[in-house]
Amino acid sequence: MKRLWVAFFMFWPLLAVVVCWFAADMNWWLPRHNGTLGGAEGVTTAFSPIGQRIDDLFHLILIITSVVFVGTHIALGYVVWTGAKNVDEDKKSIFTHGSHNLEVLWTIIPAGILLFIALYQMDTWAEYRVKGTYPEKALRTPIAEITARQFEWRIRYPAPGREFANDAEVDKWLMGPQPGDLYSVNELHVPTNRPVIVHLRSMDVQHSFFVPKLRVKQDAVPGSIIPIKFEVTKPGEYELLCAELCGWGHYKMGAKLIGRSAQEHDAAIEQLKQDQDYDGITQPADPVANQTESTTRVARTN
Amino acid sequence: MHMNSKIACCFRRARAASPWMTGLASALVIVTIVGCSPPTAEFSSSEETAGLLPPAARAVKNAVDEHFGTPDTIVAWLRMPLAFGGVTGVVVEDKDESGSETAGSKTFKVDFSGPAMMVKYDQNFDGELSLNEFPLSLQEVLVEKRGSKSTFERYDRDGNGSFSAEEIEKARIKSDEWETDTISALTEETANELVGKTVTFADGLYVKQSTRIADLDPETGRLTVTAKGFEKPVEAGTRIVVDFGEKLRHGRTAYMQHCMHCHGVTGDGNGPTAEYLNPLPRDYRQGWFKFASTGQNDPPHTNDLDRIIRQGIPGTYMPSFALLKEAEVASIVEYVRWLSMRGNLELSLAGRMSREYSEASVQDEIDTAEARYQQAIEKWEAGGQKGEEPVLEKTATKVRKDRLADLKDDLEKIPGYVDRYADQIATNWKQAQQVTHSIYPSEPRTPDTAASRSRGRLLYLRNNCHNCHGVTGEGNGPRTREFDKDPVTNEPYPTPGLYNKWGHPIEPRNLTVGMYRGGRRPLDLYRRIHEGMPGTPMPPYGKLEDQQIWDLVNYVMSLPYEDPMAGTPSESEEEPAEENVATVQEPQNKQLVAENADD
Repeated sequence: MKRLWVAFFMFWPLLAVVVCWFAADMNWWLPRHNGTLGGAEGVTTAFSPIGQRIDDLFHLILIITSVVFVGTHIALGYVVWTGAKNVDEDKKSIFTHGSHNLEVLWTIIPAGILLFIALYQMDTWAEYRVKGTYPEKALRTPIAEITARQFEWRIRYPAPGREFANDAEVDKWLMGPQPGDLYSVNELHVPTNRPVIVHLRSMDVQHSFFVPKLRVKQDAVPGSIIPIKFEVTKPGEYELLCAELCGWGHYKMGAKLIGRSAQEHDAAIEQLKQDQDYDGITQPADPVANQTESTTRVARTN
Repeated sequence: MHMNSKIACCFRRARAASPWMTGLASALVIVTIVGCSPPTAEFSSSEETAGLLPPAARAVKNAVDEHFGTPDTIVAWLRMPLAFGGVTGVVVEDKDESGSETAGSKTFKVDFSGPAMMVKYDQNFDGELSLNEFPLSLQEVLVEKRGSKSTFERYDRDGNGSFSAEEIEKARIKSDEWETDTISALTEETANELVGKTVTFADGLYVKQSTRIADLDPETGRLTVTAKGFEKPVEAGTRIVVDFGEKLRHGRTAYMQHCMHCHGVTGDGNGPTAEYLNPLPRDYRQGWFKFASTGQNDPPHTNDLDRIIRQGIPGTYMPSFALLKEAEVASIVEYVRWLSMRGNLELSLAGRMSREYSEASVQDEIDTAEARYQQAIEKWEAGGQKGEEPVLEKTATKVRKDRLADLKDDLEKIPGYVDRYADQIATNWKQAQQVTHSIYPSEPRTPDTAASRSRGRLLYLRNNCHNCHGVTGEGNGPRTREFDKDPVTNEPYPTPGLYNKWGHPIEPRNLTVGMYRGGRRPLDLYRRIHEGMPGTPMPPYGKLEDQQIWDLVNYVMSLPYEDPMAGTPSESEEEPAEENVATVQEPQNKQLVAENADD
């Protein structure tokens, strides 16, 4: 009976390992696609370079923790199993006060591992979060300003083709609306294959800008404007979610991030401009826009 | 301590009598299960209806329920110009004779490409037709012919009865024309969804048989249905409607999920979260929708509702639902329209009845009688109690009894009222869908130059825009500090500032923040100025020339910028623009402000 219980309790960590092993292959916990990585074609990779580096870090940590998890469970199972063999009720248990050497050992080893991880991930972190590492050109041509509010993403683009001479000008643009700005809601248009910067702000409470496929996540904090850098390598639609419980409608605070090649992106922005300038007479170039009067529909047909 | 011992005592007793414990446990389980089941959605009566005498309130409620049903059982009232949904087709041939029929099912060929025909699906159809079964345009003929008589006449499809066959044929063709916008294309995808749905056979005008689809091949149009309740062969030319009313049903589901918590089950803007919001959610029942492309007194076009659902309204709590599927938004639009029509009918009926049969009017009469009696008594006492002592003839009970007696007769008029109001509502909504009812400028937008903006600035002051929106456009004009009067009671409101037609305080828009609730296209601003904002103190300025409105639009759209002339073409295309601004605009403005102040 004792051994049955031991087997029962050892079954669950085993199951956890098996499930985790297969989960990675199902492509739903870290969505990936067949793309190019470092010049090589047809490699299963994340949808953005930073995403690939984050995935690599994740896998490294997963391997370390798996080894420790499996190892300690084998040890634990062995001890409990051999202990369960002892059916002599009269025999006294041995009491020990522990081993000083062992304690030191299992404190220093994890500390060493943690230190290694802390140092190893610094480059990735810096590339992702430190503004000083962002390319100059991307900083001068912010793609959009995203204002999160309960429960939607309102997006403002600088006038098409506009470049800012310096940081101060970008800051000035972020201060308020300026002529030629374009607007959309719940649809973020992004050019692919170049690092882009968007500025994130919140109108009410805390939200979090989260694009799972790109592994981009950044809290929106009321009162501050936070630049986010990312790069989309594959054109397509990406789900943009709010990852911070922001109120009762949090679940429906979703949007679309649409990546397009530079040329198509410019065309989409131009379409946005034409729709926004519509005065009821000057017909937009696209007959669909003319028919439906809706910017979102036009974007969808594109 | 005392409590503890009491609880312990309970436990001891419970242990002693375990059946009690079991009973308690099962009761708890039952309560939990009941508590977890979803609450039934119900339409709530309007305040006007609730204020009627009980029989009148009941009659109004019944009349509305009869034609619109409840949220759980929607009645598709064909008199309302709605796209109820459903795929329609015409039977080309009955494959029955070719022997391809297997036991329990029936196959025939259907052409799904024709125009839609709307019929009311009625399980208890017994050959007797009510007006509701007819397409709207045919009803018009019927109503016209019938005059104000409210009893339905029996009538068969050959035209025997009050109408000739030609009349009906004419009406039918007319109805086809009108209904073509409800066509649903049948694709492979939708075909699969339709399996298991109800199919309704309509022979020209009315429902013949209804059954369920077993199989549907969109390419060949082969339709197999279960043979239950199906005896006669299906004639070629028979119209069928698959899944009639699906749009409204889907709309209801989506509405309950996304919209109900603010706009309420009834669409009265009084959902559970409404009380925390400012501005309050829209109340659809009056049919006033602020951000529409139609005229100030018209209901909105379906595209307007679609646009608002997709784009949301910045500056309010209405978020964008851009990620919903197109069909989903369309079905929500249809359901909102349906709710609005329902609410409109209820308010109209209640308003009509409350003239004579509201509790308030009864109380008024009682009070008047009482006051007169008191006066008479005083007079009588002052006169030394000479003559007969006045008697209170109209006692409260008598007044009430008389009213109720009158009401009994007038209740019979309700179907007539329903007829009349439904007509108005249907016509209003139908007309609003016509292109001619949408507001479009006749001239393109004036180029957004400095000169145009200065002209706009002058118009802004000349047309008293600054009275509400403020001289600088910050929404702080003098009227925000004045006491407005309630148009109904003529009493000043308790707080200064402007009020909307729903009786809520409202702030004029601050034009300097660049937030445009109804959309930021020049066309949107043009429409706001041209038609005003229904339900708010913003009046229509349709009397202005198009050029003038465009100047105003250009000026208003420049207000959010620090530099008032930002974004205008810098090279002086249009005369010396720079000079214009510096020399002309300033003194003129000052003069105008002074003039207005003098007023």
